Amino acid sequence: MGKDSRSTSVANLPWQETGSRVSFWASISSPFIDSFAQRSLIWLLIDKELRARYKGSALGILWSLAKPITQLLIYFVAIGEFLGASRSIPGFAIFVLIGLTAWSFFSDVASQSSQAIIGNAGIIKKIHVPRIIFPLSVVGSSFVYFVIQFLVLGIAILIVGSLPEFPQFWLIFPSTTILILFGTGTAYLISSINVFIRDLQHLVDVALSILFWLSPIVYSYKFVVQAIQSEFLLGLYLANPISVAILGFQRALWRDGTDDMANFPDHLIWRLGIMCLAGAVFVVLGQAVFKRFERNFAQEI
Amino acid sequence: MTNIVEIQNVSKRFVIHKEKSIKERLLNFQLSQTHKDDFYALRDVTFDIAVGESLGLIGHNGSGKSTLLKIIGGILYPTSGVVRHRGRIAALLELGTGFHPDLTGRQNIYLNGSLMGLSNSEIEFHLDSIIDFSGIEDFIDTPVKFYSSGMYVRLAFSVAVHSDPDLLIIDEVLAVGDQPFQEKCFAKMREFQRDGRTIVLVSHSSAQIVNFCDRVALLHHGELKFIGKTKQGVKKLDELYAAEAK
Repeated sequence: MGKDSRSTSVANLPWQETGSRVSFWASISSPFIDSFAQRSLIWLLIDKELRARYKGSALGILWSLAKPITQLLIYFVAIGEFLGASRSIPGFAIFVLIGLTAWSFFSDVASQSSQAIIGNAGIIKKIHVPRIIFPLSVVGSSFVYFVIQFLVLGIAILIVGSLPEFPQFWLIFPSTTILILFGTGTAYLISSINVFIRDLQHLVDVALSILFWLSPIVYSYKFVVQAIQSEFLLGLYLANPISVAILGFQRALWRDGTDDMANFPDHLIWRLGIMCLAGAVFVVLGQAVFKRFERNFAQEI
Repeated sequence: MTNIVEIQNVSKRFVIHKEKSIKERLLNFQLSQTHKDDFYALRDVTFDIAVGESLGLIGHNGSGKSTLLKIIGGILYPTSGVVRHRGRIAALLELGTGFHPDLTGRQNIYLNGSLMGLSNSEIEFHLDSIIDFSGIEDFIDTPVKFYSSGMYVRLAFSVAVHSDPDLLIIDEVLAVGDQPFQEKCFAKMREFQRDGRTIVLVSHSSAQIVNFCDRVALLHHGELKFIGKTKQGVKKLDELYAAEAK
């Protein structure tokens, strides 16, 4: 390309501005546009993450199953057999596996996203890319592990032979949507705030272990109803989106438990729908916070 | 004249947090606002860069050159003012242009190229010439954490010039390369000049600036002191140095 032709071709390119204040609506819509425009980069980062994590190990990505399988065995033996939970929860192994699969997606996202910006400091300080791709790639790579674990869950269900019924089975879709939406919002919040307040990453670990026991993973919802008499506290328990998502998965896949409707709250479908909406609001909120903090990432890391 | 970058009234303020122990922080909790110091890295800088020109950016250490380049490259945001740019930018800012230490040189070419906006097929097309230009064929499959700083800059420069940029930003990094490589880089940059690409170069070598640039911008304590003819700018800088030495 010659001098003049380059000059005219540059003259026809749109200006990109840094520093000007953007309107409220633009600040809400631009993350969606950015992340769509950068989808190939997001894929590249997911691919990099998946390759880098188990690089050099013989079993590779199969290691991603090691943690959930150990957890499953521990809870199955300790809580199911020793504490006797398996007597009141039919199909306990499948029950725990369902909860763990959903849970490990969320906890994966939450614990990894604290490093999403800090860990990519080298790139962020040198190259201009929309920073939104970093938390999104954390959600993406965690979702890949989620899909793998979900396949294992499917195989386990086939082996046990308690096949899920239709149409409840379709509840896996709103439940997955809740996980993804709240996971994405959490990734935005944690990755951006942790740049400025490094204590957050330690707080996340603590909060996750509390949230784990606040979700119906190793005990069924029936136990919660029996233990909590107060209507208010029960409402609070169900305000946890992860609990609602897990209950949705259980309703869809836990064949042995669906005979007893005390295992599920009333109006589960409505609850799932409302949580999907709340999740969408949460994502927009997370994006707004991320956009607000993004300006100062390069100088703080 | 078509502009590729327009800088309008750009200021950049950094807040300096004084190192304090947790005890001090707790004791001075109410006072903590007064323990912050403001520092202006750039004050009200305004100028344009035209398509096809080679602009030298000069000034003493800490005069705000790197901050300005980072703002042009969209990495830092100005505290006030606006920067507009168009076209593809390739920026070599300090060392290490966004390499991932655990990935090999070859993998980093793909990562870096994609981050700069190249498609996979474009990278594959240029791969051989990127490796060839960098002159580090023997180490291309070694993780970059084992590279020397010279090897780093060779690979970074090679990727940057093959990314077909409209604007190439080079911040002092070439000083790390050896003489033959620096000559190779300047030959490449001459070729870029002939192609009508825009180059912004930071260097402390007056000879390099005078030889290469059409115009210079002189920054002094964050303020734009001079913009115009190269020789005049370099002379002004020497005067400033002389004044400070007294």
